[in-house]
Amino acid sequence: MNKSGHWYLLTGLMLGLGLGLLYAWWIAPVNVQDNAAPASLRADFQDEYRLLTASAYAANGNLARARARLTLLSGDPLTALAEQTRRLMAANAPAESVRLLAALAQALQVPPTAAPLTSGGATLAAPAAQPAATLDDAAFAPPVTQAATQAVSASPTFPPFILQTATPRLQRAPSATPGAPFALLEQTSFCAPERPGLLEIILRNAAGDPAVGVSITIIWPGGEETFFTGLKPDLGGNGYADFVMTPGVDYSLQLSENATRLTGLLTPDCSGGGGLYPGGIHLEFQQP
Amino acid sequence: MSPQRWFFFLLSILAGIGLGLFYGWKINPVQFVDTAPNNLRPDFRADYALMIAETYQLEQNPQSAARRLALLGAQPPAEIAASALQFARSNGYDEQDIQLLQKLTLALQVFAPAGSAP
Repeated sequence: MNKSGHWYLLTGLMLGLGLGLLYAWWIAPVNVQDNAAPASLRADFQDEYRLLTASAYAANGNLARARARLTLLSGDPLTALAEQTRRLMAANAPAESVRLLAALAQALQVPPTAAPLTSGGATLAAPAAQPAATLDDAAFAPPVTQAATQAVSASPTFPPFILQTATPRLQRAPSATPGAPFALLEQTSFCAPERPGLLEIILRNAAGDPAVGVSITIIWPGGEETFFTGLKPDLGGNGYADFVMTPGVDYSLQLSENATRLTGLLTPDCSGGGGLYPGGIHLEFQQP
Repeated sequence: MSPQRWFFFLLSILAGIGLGLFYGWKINPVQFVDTAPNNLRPDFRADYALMIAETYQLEQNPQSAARRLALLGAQPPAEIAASALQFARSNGYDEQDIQLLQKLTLALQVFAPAGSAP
């Protein structure tokens, strides 16, 4: 008996540990029902969640709340919004959905303001100046971050996810920056036979970062077309968009819900390689 | 083995089971992916319903709201909205948010989807 020492205790412990894990992971895992966090939603449901967040933002103008909601999903909120906008446009989804997502993406590019938010006489702490708000900012009860990042917990001992902000309803947040008009920084013509008549547009926000999801309207005699930045990230980054112009047609460009307008856009004449061809125009805008 | 050893052996097995359960349920539980909104935790469900209520305030479209709420469960949309309202009331939601949920619940209680029996 003495030869075996106390190894039998370790054997029993390991045996029990294995049985316990078997039961906890395979036989009776934590119940997913009523325990899932938004980050665990299937991709299409996350798209629906994002669209709903954008719709709610359009209704209440509460950016802190929208930011916090998007943070609950997996991935970078801004990238996910841009990707979803791209997918919707590729699938010819309703323009309203694209517009809602683009509007939220544009608003999210502005860093959270340091000024306190006031509503209904109550002063609320401003969200911290960080790219993705944690859930303990002004919009939510303090302990939610931990609960939200726990994918699944065995017992629902979480602090509830409660919205604390009182936002003026049907009223935009008083920040002027999201809708600040873009200013033209650079306008150049270029000759590139592989890109004939191309109108290249690059938008940056006040921080100098690419402005994704901004709607651009091109108007010409007898027609107009609206598109968004960020749909061709491989070409010029998330703030890039382009449009192919027809030679001899006078185009106008509108940005920021008509606040910025540029007229008289005509393709320059270029020659080389065996003849004449229409050149392109490169435009760069930035929010002040 | 002596009875004493058997006792401690069984005791160590029980301790191991306890440790295994604690690890498997608390420390490193099974991670679920690709879930549906009806599996959301009650507080997240209530916030999901609140988003629908906020959107309803702007759109005033009960059919759209009902369709969105249907993702949260098989119950009638009005019941789902009422559950969210109940959660909001008992968890100290902002009064404006409670009112939004209340309006949505009322709208869905009187809403008859197209094609339904009178």
